[in-house]
Amino acid sequence: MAGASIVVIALIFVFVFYKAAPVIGASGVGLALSGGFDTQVSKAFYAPAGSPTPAFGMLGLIAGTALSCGISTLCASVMGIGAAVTVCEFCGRRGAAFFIAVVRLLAAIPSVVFGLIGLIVVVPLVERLFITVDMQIEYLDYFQMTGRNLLSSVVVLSFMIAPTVVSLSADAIAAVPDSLRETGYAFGMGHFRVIWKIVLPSARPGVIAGVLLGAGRGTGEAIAVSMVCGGIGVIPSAGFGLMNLLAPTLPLSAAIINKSEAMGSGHVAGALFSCAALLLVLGALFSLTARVVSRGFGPGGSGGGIKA
Amino acid sequence: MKLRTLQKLPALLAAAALALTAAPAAYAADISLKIDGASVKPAIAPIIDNGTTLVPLRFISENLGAEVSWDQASSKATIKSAGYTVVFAIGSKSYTVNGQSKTLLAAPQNVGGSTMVPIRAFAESIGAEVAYSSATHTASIDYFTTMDGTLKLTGSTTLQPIAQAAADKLAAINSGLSISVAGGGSGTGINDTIAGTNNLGMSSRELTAEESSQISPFAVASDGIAIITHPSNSVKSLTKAQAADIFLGKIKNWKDVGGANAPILVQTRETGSGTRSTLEEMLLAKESVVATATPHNSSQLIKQAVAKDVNAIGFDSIGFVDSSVSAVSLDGVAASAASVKSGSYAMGRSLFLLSKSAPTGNAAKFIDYLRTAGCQKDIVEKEGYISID
Amino acid sequence: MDSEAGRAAVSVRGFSAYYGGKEALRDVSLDVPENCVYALIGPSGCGKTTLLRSINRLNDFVPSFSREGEIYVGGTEVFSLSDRRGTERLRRGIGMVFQQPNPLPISVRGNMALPLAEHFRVPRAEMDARIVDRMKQGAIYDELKDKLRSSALALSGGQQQRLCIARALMLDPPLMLFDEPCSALDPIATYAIEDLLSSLKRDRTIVIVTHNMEQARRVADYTAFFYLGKLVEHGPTERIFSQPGSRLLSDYITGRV
Repeated sequence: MAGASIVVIALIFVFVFYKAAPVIGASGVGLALSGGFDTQVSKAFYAPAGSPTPAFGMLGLIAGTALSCGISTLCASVMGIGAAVTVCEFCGRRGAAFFIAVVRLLAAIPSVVFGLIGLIVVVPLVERLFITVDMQIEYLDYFQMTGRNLLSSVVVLSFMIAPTVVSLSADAIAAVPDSLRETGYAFGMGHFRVIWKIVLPSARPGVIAGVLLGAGRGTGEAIAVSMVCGGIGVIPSAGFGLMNLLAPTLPLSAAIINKSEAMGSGHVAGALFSCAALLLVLGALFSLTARVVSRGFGPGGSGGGIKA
Repeated sequence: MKLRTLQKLPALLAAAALALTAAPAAYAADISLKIDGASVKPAIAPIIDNGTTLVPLRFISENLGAEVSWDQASSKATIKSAGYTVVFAIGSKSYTVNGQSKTLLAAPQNVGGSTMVPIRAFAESIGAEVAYSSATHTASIDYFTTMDGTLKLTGSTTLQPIAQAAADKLAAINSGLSISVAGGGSGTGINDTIAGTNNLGMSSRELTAEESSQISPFAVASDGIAIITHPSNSVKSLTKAQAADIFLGKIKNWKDVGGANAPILVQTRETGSGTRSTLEEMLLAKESVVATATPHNSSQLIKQAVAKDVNAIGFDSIGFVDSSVSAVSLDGVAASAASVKSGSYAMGRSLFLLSKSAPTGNAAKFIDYLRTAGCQKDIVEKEGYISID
Repeated sequence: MDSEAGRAAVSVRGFSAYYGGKEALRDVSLDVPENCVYALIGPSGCGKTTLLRSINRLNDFVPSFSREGEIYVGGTEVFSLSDRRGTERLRRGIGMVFQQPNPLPISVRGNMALPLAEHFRVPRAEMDARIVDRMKQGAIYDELKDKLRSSALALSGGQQQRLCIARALMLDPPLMLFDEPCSALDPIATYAIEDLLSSLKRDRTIVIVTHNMEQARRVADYTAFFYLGKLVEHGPTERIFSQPGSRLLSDYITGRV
């Protein structure tokens, strides 16, 4: 079984990279370092049959993935770890079990539902709270400032990632033996200090695994983000400052969804497979790191527990 | 008396002509005709010649979704359905089906300007079933009622409502038939057809050179593209040049076209959408919609986006326009089926079904069905599209 | 507070403890003299651990726990401390070593520094010196001086337990509580800990719970025998083991209870 899954995974990698190879070859490092993906897709789509593979630049998409996923992972971690601590340390065993069951349900909600809620609730809210007509006019030369932007993507993604962080963190926190907490109390530490200095460090491998798996979900999430991201891979600019949050974005995964209609062109297909290749590498990195980290601290560590 | 004779003269002459050109022909006014179970009455009644029933070619063809073209010089009629090309020649017993020569029992003949062909040979040559009941003197052609199995369509969301309505009607008269119609956009329809993962694709744009080398298009309707804005936007009409400049990003503020001081938020479809391709071709001289435009993945989504933002402008099939948005008139011409059909509206286009190989069976019949006069009237026009003819 | 309690390191007076409606200890009174090892022995469930964990009020965290009577530590009645700060200060002066070695999943040095850094701002050099000194007191320095940066979880069980003892020494507690500290260790590690106990009692008082009677005999100056929540007998260890004053105790010593 394990052998079969390794073969399947290997085949997926080979297939995706094989399909992506022409575009990666034609673009070189520019693939990761230059922008203009949206226009390039349009051009490639209308290029006459048999024309040479054009170069693509995915800097905007990579930035979109890094920012949307990075910021939302950060928010989700703060929310998720906070919730896990609150529930495990202050709500009693039964309360914690109930809450975690609810959170697990939340993690099972299909992402298109998150996307729909994002589109109906988050997008108009972000537009009403942060965007004025004057801002729209001022920035129209660079991008359309609407509720479909990086901020909305971050909000939606945060709520999608948080359940993963909560449930893995809560498991890890619950697994910290009481004797470790008592050690802290015996040193005259208060409850909050015990949580901060003893419970969280002991639960760290599980918490980090939760954060990384959450980040992995965030990176790969496509449907929900594609509904609220604005669909254009705007490259963030220092000059825009915080306004970068209100610019449309297009993470790699959402780009595959959004641009799939143009896959009739072999070049566009190749470009989308390049997105997929990047995502595969990112995803593999995240789960490998999660695995290594959850093995525990240092050599001979045993997942944060004690060695009996 | 004299007068009455004179009045009868044309008829007498016609009878004499018939007697000369098609000697042993006999009228068979009492033969009734049924197509797919429904009684039909052609303007020229079927005739019997040498024991063979002949029926008016154009009338039958229209009911079976086939197209008839007439070549005066060679006296040849060419009938094209999705799956078959049949050529008859007046007065000749040989005819061809998809290029193969065959022989008729009775030669086609011209009756009162209508080409009459042997019913059995014609119907069977395009894949229909024919039955004759001597008790009731009824000739029945069954074509769209003899379908079973499955049929899968994917593609253009513009064409989806038409295909769905046709699918519903066909499923209602064929108990063993199940048809699925999924959207995804023209690009999806084209890709699926090339990949062979559907039976028919749907596209609202012309195929590119690369694509048309692999699949064939069959026009089933036409459509106009409306430029849509929020209903409370005060700008109700644009010149073609203004509209183009807006979508190219050259005009950015509504005040420049007579509206409020507010940004023009251009909404577009994703690359690969047939609607977008058509707009770029017909309005933007093949240039691309401004890069900052917000892209959407379906006709519904772009309409919703425009309906929600007073400063938005977008485009959609005329068939999709409803009261949630308002269609801007172009150069003073309102976007409507009538203006597209009359040619006065600037952006009209054809809608295609796509097939990987020459269509046969259910796929061929589905295309033919949509092309019947009945469907063009009851489905295509009723859904707000424009019939082909 | 009477005068006798003043001289004792720990003084228990008429102490009864309950978990919900269940009685765990009944009317226990005893005095632990300063600078000695005092062993609490008895079969499982006799209440010895409850008494130990009441001394630094660790049983406060058991929701159903309640008690009557008093326990004096260094002249202060521990249950009279009503605020959180007072309790925390009390615990700071009482070192505790648990049944399972429980180093935190951080470095050896991090473990050592934690108790002190938690309460005082200590310059790094001073901290390092103190860590070395307490690790020497804990008889662990020679083994671990090159491993200060590595994970405490990588140590053997015996090393971990001595590290925990050294860690408890960082706050210089005049009183230390050991809750069956050797029950998870092999005999060699056990002897190392027992040696350590005898050296530690020079400067402080040690109360140890053990169910290993040989251990009590080896390390304890005084022994108290508990049975079913009652203090049956207490006194100098030698007397307790050579002349048990009750049938119960002699049965226990000979392994019949």
